[in-house]
This record gives sequence, structure tokens and C-alpha cells, in this order.
Amino acid sequence: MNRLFTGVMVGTTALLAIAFLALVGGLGAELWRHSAVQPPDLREVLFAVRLSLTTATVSSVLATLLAIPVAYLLSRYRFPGKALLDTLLDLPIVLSPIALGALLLVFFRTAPGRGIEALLGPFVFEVRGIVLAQLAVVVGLAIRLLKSTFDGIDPEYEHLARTLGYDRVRVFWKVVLPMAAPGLVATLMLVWGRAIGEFGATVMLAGATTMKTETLPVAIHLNFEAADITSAMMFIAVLLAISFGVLLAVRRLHGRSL
Amino acid sequence: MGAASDRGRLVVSGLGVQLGGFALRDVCLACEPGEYHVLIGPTGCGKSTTVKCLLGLHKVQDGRVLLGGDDLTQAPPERRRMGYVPQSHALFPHLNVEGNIRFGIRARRNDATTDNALLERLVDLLGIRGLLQRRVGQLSGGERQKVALARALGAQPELVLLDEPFSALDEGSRRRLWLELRAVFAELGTTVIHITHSLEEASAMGDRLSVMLAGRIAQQGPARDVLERPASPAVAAFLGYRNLYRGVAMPAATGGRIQLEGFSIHTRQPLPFQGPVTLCVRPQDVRIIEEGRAVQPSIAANLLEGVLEQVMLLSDSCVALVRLDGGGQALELRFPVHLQRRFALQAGQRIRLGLYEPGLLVYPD
Repeated sequence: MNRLFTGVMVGTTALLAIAFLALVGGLGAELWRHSAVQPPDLREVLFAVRLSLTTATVSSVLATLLAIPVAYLLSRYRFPGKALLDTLLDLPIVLSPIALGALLLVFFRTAPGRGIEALLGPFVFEVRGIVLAQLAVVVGLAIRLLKSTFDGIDPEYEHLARTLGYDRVRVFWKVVLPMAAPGLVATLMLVWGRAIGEFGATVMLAGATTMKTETLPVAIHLNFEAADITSAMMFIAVLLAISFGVLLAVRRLHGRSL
Repeated sequence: MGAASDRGRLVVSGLGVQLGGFALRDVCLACEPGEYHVLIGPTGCGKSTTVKCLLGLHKVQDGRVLLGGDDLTQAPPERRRMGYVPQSHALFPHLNVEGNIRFGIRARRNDATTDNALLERLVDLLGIRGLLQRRVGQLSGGERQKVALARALGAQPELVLLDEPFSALDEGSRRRLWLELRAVFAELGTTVIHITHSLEEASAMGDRLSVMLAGRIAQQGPARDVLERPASPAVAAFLGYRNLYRGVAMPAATGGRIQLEGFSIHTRQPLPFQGPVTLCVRPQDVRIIEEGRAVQPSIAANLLEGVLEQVMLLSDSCVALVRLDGGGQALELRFPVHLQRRFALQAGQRIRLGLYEPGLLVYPD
């Protein structure tokens, strides 16, 4: 029975690993077959990589910064309507990104939305829109991950620091943040990884314009639409490499498997 | 700020707090400067809640907390000048031992020379110089205890609250630390409130004791008085006195008499009350009577006989259980180990006992 149990664990893991490797292998073979015939436009690749890296970095940093106070509030305090608020903030995690993008697009047709655009500049069909779309998609995830990090820190440490003469702000800076540092870094990287792959909300709000709002996932979409398989594969390979690198870095930083 | 002579004087009056289904009611505590005060009670009686209230971590609904003459009832924890060593020690895992101690010292925002001098003094006092560069995960229970204490003392509090400080330690380390900590606090002159449920610890450490039962202070006083003269049957039961008997007190031709189930007790002095009472016979006040030997007057009025049911040899004494003739009540007695050998005591043998009258405790219902 024990051997069967081990067999099921190892077998299932191997099967999934082989399936993913087969996908990557297929991608490699396809690239090898087509690249000599139809080389990709490197200028477009570099633009998409640069835009994706920039927008994902800005949106993930913003999401993490916004998530810190919210996650701490949810982790440490009880108040009326907490369950409702918690559920509301979870919505971006479960809501389809296309639906979220559509909601953002509709919002910018309303008076408050137009007011925000008048104040901060246009979002619809603009690079700003990409950042906002990514932010909307990942902020719920950032809150969830950070809440879990704060939940893992025993409030006794904070109580103790206060008895030593530290007020709540100093306790947060000197105790909570340093103790949450590994979780913060992991959150930032996972959120960044999720933002760089964001497509649905981005397309709805910022559109899919070549060399303007062309992030890596948008570029994949545009090239498939144009039946340029080689370029699409090249973009997929770049996205795959970046995603793999991020996940590996998170594991190394965290010191354990996530 | 209060007067310098008041530094470390704690006065808690009428403290009350309701937390879900649990309540602290009318908690009163008084500690003189430099006093080592032990708050003792069974698990769940409210000791840790009291500590959290004193530290300002729970908002109190009633009462006042004065330290050094200052009313701290509404003060935030960082302004209370109270150090805290929790049961878990809560050493910061992102700092090494020195970092943890300096964390307490830095709260005072002194200059670097003063900070370093204080660090040196604390590490020498607690004998932890060799641990300074260690990660907290590499420390033993006793070492963690000392580092947590050094961190608390680093903030130079007027009062230190120790919450079950020895609960995670083995017996040897615990006893060693009792002596070391008493010496440290005696040298510093810091007032201490020590929370425990261990009678032995309370007896060894406390200048004064407060017994807490079900959210109230049931008795407070010098350690010896509380341990030897419990103020109520509930306190006596908590302190481990199992010879508690319900009966009726009445006057006698000379003195008084308490009629219990199966036997009666005589007192040479009249009892101050009549009617239903609870009698507590402390096990150390039950004497074994040797055949043919004269009996002291303080024992002579209350001689009993029974069958020895159990004899337990402890590290420093013997405890025996006797089933008394008549009503079959059980009576526990404690005596020095050498008497067990002298009388060759063993289960099943008949035994004659006398109760030491001045030690008897009578509580009116």
C-alpha cells in the first residue's frame, strides 16, 4: 500500500512535468523549423519586452504598496463588515480579466472616470491603461498573499515591541516589515509574474495596437491573428523564460517551495 | 511624574474587563518598589489577561492602574514603563541576540555610549556575553529566557511582568534560573510581577503572592502567610490542601467542637462562629502518634485512627493517605522521609494520628 502511495505521488508529478516539458519542447521545435524561413522583427520583440517589463514592474510595485496597509488591516483588526470587505477585495482574483477590463472601460465612460482622466491623463487605449489593467488584476492577489504573510507573524512580537517603548508606527517599521520581508519579496515577484502575463484586462482597456500597447501577451495575440507563427512563438519563448526566471528567483529568495 | 521614592510602586484597584465569555472583576494588586510579587492561579483563571491589562494591551472597562504614582489606566503600552517577558519569549527572529537586546535599549533613544554601557551591564549580569552573536534559533530554553529578560530590562522599566517564564524549561534549568533571576532582580531593585500556576515556583520566588481564581484575586499577602493560611476553602483547594471537610461548628463544655461526617474536632478556645463550616486540615499538621509516647497538649484533643491506604515517597518528603475509622473519610498527611523508615509505614497497616490544633483552618459557610 505504501509503495502504491509513493507510486501515485511520483507518477503524477512525473506525468505533469513531462506534459509541461513536451509543451516547451514543441515550442522549441516549432521555432527551429520556422525561424530560418521567416525571422521575427527584433524591433517589435524588444518593444514588447521593454513595455511588458516596465508596466509589470510599475503595476506590481503599486499593487504591493497598496496591499500592505490593506492586508495588515485585514490581518490584525476585527471590524463590522470585514467579511464583506474581504470578499470584495478578493473579486479581482476570481473575476475574469476580460470582465475586469470591461468594467474599467465602462468606468472611464462615466463622469468620475472622465474626471480622473482629466486629472491624470488618458487611460483608455494608452500605456497608462496597461498599468491600471494589470494593477486591477493583481492587487487582489497581492492583498491575499500579504495577508497570509502578516497572519504568519505572531502579534505577540508587536505587543512586546510596544512594551519596550515603540509606538505603532515604529513597531510596523522595526518589527512587522523586517519579519514580513521574505513574504513581501515573494509577493512582489509573484504579482510581477502575474502582471507580465496579463492579457484580458489589458486588451479591453488599452487595446492591442502594434508598437503602442503591445505587451508580450498582446504581441502573441497580434501575431497569431496575423498568422505569423514564428513571431508568436518567439514572444511565447521570451514570456516563458521570464516567467520561469521569476518563479525560480522567488523560490531561492523564500528558501522553500511556494 | 510621581515621586522618585514611588518608582516601581504598583497600585491596581478595581480592575475589570469583559472579554467574550470571560471577565476579570475587581482585581486589586499592590506591589511595593522592588517587590517580587507572584500572581498564581489555575490555568484559565485570568492571570495572563491581567498582565495584558496592566501592559495596556487590553482596554480595561473599570478600575485604575498606577505605577510610580502615575495613573496609566489609559496610557498606551509604550508609555507604561513596564517590561514584559512572555511565555513564548517572542525573541525577534530577524535579529541576533545582541540585536534583540539592543532593540530594548534603543527604545530609550540614549546616546551610543550609554547604550553600550547598559548592554555590557546586562550581558554581565545575566551571564550571556558568549551568546551575543548567536541567532535566536540556536539558543536553549534557559538562554532564550535570559535574552528575553535582558531585552526587557534594556528599556529600563520600573516594573517587569514575567508570564509563565519557566514553563518551557526542564526541572534542573528551572531551579537554576530561580536563583539567578532572584539575584538579578535583587541587584537591580526592579519590581516584578511573576505569573505562574506552579506552587513550588511561587513559594521559591515570591516575596508576596496573589492567588487568582475565576477572574478575581482571592487572597493576597506575604508568600508564607498565603501558602500556610489560605483565606478560603477555594484557595486551600487550589494550594493543594485536600483535607477539606464540611461540618457544623458548635460550642463545647471547654472551647468548641466541629462535628464532621464520622469524626469530630475539638478546639481549646471557643470558635468565633457557629453553624455550617468547612474545616481544612493541612497535611503537615497531621502527626503520627507512636504507641506509649506522651502526646503534646496541642494534639491530644484530636486523636484519630485509620488504615494507611497509600504511601508516596517524594523527593523531599512523604505523602500518605489514611482511611479514617468511623465515616471512612480520607486524610492526607505529609511527613519527613526518615519517619517512613522509622515507623516502617506501608499500605494496609493501622495507624494512629493526631491533628495539630493551631494549624486547623475553619471557614464559615
